[in-house]
Amino acid sequence: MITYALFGNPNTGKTSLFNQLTGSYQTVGNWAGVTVEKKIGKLKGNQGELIDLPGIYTLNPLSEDETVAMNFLLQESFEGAVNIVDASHLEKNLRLTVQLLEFGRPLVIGLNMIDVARRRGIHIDVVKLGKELGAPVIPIIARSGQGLDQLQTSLAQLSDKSNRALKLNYGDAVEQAIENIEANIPDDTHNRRWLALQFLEGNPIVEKYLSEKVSLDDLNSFKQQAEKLLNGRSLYQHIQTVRHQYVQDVIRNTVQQGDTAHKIPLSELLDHVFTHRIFGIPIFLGLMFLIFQFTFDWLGTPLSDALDTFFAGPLTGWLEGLLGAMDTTVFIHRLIIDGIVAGVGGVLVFVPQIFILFFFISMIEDSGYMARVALLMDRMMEKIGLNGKAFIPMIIGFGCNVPAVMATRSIEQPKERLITMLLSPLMSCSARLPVYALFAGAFFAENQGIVVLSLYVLGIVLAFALAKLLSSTILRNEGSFFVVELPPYHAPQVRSLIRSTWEKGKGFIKKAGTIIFAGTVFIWLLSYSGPTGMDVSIDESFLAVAGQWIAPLLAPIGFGTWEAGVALMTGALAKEVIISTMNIIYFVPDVDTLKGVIMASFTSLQAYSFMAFVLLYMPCIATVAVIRKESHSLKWTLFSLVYGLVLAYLVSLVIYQVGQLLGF
Amino acid sequence: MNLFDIKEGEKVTIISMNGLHDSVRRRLQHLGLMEGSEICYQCKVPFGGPCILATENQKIGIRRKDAACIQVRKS
Repeated sequence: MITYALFGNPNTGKTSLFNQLTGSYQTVGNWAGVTVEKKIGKLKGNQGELIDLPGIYTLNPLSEDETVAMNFLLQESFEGAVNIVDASHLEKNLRLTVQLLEFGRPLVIGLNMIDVARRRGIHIDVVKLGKELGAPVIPIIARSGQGLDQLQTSLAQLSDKSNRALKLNYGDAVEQAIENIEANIPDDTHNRRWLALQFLEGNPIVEKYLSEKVSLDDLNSFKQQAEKLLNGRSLYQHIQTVRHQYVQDVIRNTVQQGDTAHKIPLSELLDHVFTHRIFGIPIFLGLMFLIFQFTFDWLGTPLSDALDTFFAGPLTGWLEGLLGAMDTTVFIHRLIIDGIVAGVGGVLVFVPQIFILFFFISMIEDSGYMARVALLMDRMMEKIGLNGKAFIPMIIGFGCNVPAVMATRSIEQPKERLITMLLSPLMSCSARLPVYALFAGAFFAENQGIVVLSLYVLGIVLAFALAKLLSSTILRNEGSFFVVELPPYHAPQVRSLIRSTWEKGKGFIKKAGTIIFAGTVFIWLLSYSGPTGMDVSIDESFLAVAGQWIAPLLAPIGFGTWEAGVALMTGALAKEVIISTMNIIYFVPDVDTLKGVIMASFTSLQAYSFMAFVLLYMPCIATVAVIRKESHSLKWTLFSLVYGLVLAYLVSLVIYQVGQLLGF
Repeated sequence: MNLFDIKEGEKVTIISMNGLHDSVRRRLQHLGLMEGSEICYQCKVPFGGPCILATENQKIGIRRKDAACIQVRKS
């Protein structure tokens, strides 16, 4: 299989290009850092596969995104690369291109957004640009797909001989150092001159790579020699300057700037509103409030109710008819109707609410508003020892904590990143929604939106408090910093929004078919059997035995029943399973009946304490796994489990005990 | 004078970024801001929040204390 890699700056339309070239769909984000993982797609026409790398500004990494891309370059093999370049920001984009050309692997440059550039009066001589850079340049418009056939043809024609590594003259001192270093490192699959240059620039990943092959002492002495000859300028700055001059020359020779750049009036206007000094933050809070109203009150709940009626009525009736006609055993009949339909169906009814929420999150991501939110929130985040960018994973966390943990890669400071990662599970994800929808719907039907919002706020407030605590104690931070690119706004495209929502939401449906399905069958079996045999009454089942063991621990926080204990235990798999479990234990056909049963066994205060506990008590298995992977630390993974349990217990204890004192 | 002394909307040229934290300076360079760049100080988020630097065709948000480390002259 021929493999190609896709490189480019953030906000250049890289993900759109990837989607167009591979036909498969990836989230299109306008926020720097949406592509947080290496994604692989099959190129159209069976041409090979394309690897989508995170958007980066440079190969010398400042953030985890850049580390990922750099490690890929050093460790993985690929036949050729596509470098997407934003024609309207040529100077900025070509800095990365220079480093890729120096790397020396076959490269095609996709000159994107030529339409935008043209509108701004930027005219690029494409043929000449290709000659200057020594690599094919293909003008494209990734969003509409224009020019992509040519790009693919050009990609297919790439070979090891198609371009030689770019060689800039860095001046005598540096050239001497490069020569010495090259002579000192053994033959390598990578271009040695490039390795030497990245080493001189201070690229930590190349340093590590080289240290495994040769002693760094010699190399460092060459570096110091060169630095001495630069009259006080750092090597890093010197190398940047040489590249900058080269880029300037290339642009001078190939680009004609027509009328002075036009401002984009609409984008300007929107920024006056959305980053308004007084109204900016209230507008953001207002938007979040509207999203919750849509998700719960206005649109989501009626749809969920309709789905529930369908599952409990026609679907169950139809299945019972079918099972009757097939003359199945009572065991199978009960497994399907009481176990699977009740358990899996009880979770699936919340699909509308979850998709509505994902739809809005996609809209925020795609419109360019996300970067403004980071800007607005920076001051507050700085006070708790983080920066505005940490707010982005938190918003993504409302959808699902797994991508939230991955989205922390765009945060440059390692300690800020770790804190954000550990705290993003406190963001109430969509899997917790079914629990709120059930309990809030039963106990607080009048004020459902507000009650659920209060839980989201509780999560955020606790996350902030803990961030402050961590950043001023065990994870004290040296110099937090914040630089964020604010891309122009653009109207989210309906097609891309729908696909993006589906990409995010389909995981939930998949989960219903796999982990929740399996969990449901298992739980039903445990409820059907007991120490005395099969088909026991539920109070004598294995489930009740397990629950009774844990119930006394939960009594002080308001829900010391074995049913609640069991539901919470199974909920560690995935929080939706709590609802599946309750459907099975309480042996109910639909959500309405379940609400009735729950209202009989909880008071409203206990219900609220239960919801708070579910919000906080621990990340689900998938989130724990991704924290382990992203933090590279077992210690911090365990920490995320333990602090959650402790925090949940304390908070629920306070809610229940104080609530009782207040007479609720 | 530094960026902090500039009135909103005024066009200025960067003369020095030496006072900046190395990472901030490097990131700004990646985004194309360096000595000689012409920028416009745009708006300030309240309560001492960050501000927006606008160049010809892009916008960058940075903290106000960093803006105070960028030396500029009127252009």
